Amino acid sequence: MFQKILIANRGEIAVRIMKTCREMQIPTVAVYSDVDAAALHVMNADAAVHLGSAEPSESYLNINRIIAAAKQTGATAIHPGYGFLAENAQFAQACHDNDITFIGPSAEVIKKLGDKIIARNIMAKSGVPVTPGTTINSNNPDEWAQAAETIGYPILIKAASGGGGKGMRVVHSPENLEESCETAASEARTAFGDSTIYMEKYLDKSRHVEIQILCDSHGNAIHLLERECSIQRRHQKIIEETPSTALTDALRKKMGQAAITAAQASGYVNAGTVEFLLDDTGKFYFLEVNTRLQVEHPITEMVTNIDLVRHQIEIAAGHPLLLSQNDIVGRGHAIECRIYAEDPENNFFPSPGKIQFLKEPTGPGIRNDCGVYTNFDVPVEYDPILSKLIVFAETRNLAIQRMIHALQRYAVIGPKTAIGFMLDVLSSKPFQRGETHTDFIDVHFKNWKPNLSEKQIACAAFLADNLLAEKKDNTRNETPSERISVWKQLGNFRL
Amino acid sequence: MDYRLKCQNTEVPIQCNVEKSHQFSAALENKTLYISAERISPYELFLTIDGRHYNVFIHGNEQEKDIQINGREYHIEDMDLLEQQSAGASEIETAPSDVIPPMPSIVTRILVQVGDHVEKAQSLIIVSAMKMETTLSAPYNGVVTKIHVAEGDKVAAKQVLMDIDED
Repeated sequence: MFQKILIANRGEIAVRIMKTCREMQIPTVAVYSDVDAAALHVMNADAAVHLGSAEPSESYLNINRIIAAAKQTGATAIHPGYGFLAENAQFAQACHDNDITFIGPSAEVIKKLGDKIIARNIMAKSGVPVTPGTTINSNNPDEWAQAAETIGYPILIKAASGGGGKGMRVVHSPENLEESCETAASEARTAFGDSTIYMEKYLDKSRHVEIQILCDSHGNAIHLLERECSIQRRHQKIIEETPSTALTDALRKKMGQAAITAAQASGYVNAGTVEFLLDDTGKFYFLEVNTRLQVEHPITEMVTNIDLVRHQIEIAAGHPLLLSQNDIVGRGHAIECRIYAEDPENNFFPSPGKIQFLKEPTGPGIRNDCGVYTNFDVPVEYDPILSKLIVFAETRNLAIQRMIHALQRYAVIGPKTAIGFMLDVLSSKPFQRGETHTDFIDVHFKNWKPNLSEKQIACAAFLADNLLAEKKDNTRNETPSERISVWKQLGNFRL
Repeated sequence: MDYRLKCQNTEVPIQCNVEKSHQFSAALENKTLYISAERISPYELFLTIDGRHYNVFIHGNEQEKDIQINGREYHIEDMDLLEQQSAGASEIETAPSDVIPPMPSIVTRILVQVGDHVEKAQSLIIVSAMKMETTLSAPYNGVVTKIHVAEGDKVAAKQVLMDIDED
């Protein structure tokens, strides 16, 4: 097993990976940028290496500095998390060239599958159904227009090296095409360092259903059931659940088999996710393979009772998979709500800033994968995820009730969050009936306004806060480091 | 003590009577609430209102507060205090027609130069926050007289990035 693992990421995912490393008694190394010196992932690691300034290219995307940090600390493996360098073939190759194990598939596989265009071709050849449409690989506006005409509007523009909704745009008519392509390409360049984009037919009544796979280096491959991730804003998932209400056992088996075929066609090793679009007739189409641990992996962990990070580490260390397909049985129902610093009343725009106060919900069947704490300043430079709230219960209805309860007990003061919005989604009839399609938010929650039924209580709280003002900590205007300093609170003393 | 609070664009007049240091009544919307309050931390209050318990999270100052109850956030303002304040400082208010980012962000691209004539809705500056790009466009027709930022600069929400002389 590895002597030490460096986690080349930040926030909740770095913290989550460190938890499993600790259980496995593997020491961890964090890396961080200027703005993350006091981040939770730094404090949760056994050691940490400063990378550079806040810009991702100087820190979390800087391959040379991360490799140097691993060598300097004696880390023999690197876990990339998701985002940043997680699906960067050059990074996986650099690890390999420096005798560091990359916890993920090989550089060659990442490269093939990371190029969404090549990936589609591999799948089509192996008989995995792909989304209708044409792929293009060009930066020429005339070719974009031509390709869009051939596919037929509405079309979906995506980044060839993309993921997480970055660089994605739906275009309904030709006049918006060029601008959308340019913004998408620019976003793709910022987020992934590659501005190549491509187009697909946009299917509007579909569900996003993905299959978790685990493949070892000895030729064993299994799937760990599905996750439904249809509730999305800005093409980025916000609520996920498993099992999907749309899958029968037969369809689940068929999609699971297609995912394993997809993995084997590409020579996949480690944990991965095969994403499909599922239409209302039960037809499904390959979207892409995510060659990393997914943001929403915890819901799979809850229903299968399997620690995916532990399996990633064991597979990377060359251990054979001891699980067979028959061992994988889903129990109960799990839901995840992503808690981002964002404003649901303002098109889910990021809302960075200092967390004045944070209170995480606890209770039976509640898990909160959190990367922040009270007084942490959420940086403007990175993805605004604060935490992922996951619940697990016997049935879907009970899981919904449990999530509503957990969201009601979750307090985040400072950045805005979509907690109130997600409460309304979970309480809505269409969600409870399982009518979850990728256009769910546009159809049911387009101009959402919060449902504020306890106005009088809030007014009473306003008065109570004034009334009890003298009891308030009067150090509010100080910086967090001043406030938490023990020395200040101790007063004068001599040694 | 009388208050005029504003919650979600509705004005709520309240008569407040402090009975003991932790207890008060509030008459509002044809109803009187009897409230007992405990402060748990600067941001947490435990309220008992007509016998029912509420855990409330709160942040703000005398004029305005954000209040979270059961996962919902209420923004409440004290209209009397805000009116006093704005009477003194109304001229400093930023005109809503300025070129301002909606959130703290980083300038990724500047699409115009000083001296350029721009038309209403023309794209001027692209800013990015947390990897999301937003295009700021011209609020009216005019000539760019000054650009206050450079590409790569960090800017605050509502910071004026560019001056435009309206036609």
